Amino acid sequence: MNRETVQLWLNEGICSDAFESKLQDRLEDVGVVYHLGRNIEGTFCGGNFTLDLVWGKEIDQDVFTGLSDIERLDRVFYSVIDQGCRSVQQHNTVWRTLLLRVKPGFESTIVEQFERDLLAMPEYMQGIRRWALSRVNSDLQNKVNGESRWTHVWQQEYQKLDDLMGEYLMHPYHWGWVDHYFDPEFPDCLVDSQISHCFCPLQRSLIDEDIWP
Amino acid sequence: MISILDEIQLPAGELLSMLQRLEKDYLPQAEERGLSLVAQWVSPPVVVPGKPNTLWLQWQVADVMSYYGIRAGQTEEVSIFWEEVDAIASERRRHVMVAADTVLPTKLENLSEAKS
Repeated sequence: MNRETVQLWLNEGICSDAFESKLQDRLEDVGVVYHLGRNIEGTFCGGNFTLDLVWGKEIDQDVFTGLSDIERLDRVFYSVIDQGCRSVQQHNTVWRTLLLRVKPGFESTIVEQFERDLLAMPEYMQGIRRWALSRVNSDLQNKVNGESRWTHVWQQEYQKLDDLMGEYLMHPYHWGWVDHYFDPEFPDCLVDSQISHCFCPLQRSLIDEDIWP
Repeated sequence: MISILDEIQLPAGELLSMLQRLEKDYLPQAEERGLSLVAQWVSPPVVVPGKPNTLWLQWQVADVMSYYGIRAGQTEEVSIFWEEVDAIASERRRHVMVAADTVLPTKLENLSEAKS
């Protein structure tokens, strides 16, 4: 079981609806479990779409071959460290994907504390309904797509956009605690300043044992 | 209102040059980014050979969005400034603070509904 998240950029002038339909046909032919979401305005350093995939035994490395509407792809394979949920399955929520890179040279105990601090965010914020923190699977990444510039994938599901833009951003646990890992003015900043922050509508939860094993 | 406190431990005799560097390389763009210098303190109030002087810089930021704005406005000069400070300082910490009578958020009570 291999999990992948993809940021997908379209060539200029391409009709998103037509492309979406083409890509869905391709993914269904391949038989991979997937969710395709069109990124919402406010996304930065992300593509037009967020595509999440769960591969069975075999990864189809050529799944995007021949789709000439695609300008570029950022394919990231990962392994979940921990995930959780605080609500039953909900529909039509918001899916946020943060891709980040921990700068090299930090001791593993420091990186693990950073991971624990991120994973504790839902304990303070009601709006985070489901969440998963993962490490980029570098072996697989190298095999499939070359070395990734990301080390971690931090995904959350929100009931509504206001929960992401409001509670999540405005909570003191965010700006007054976790943020020091991301702010280069702090001596203990460990995340590279270039991050990818993407969010899209989510029709069905991706953090669910039945759908997303 | 959010306060930021920089705590910079300097080798004896480095205080004056650090303040000059702050004035020249950091303060002008700090104000533009919404970071206002409120106070500067140093301890101990004497240079003792071999003992550090700790410099505290207290800053104010209007609100949470302004706090994020400080980062959004960061330039390469800001990074260079802190790299140079860190090359001199034996230790540095940055604290984020609110008024002590603020009711601090705690973990949610309904954690039982969160499961991994």
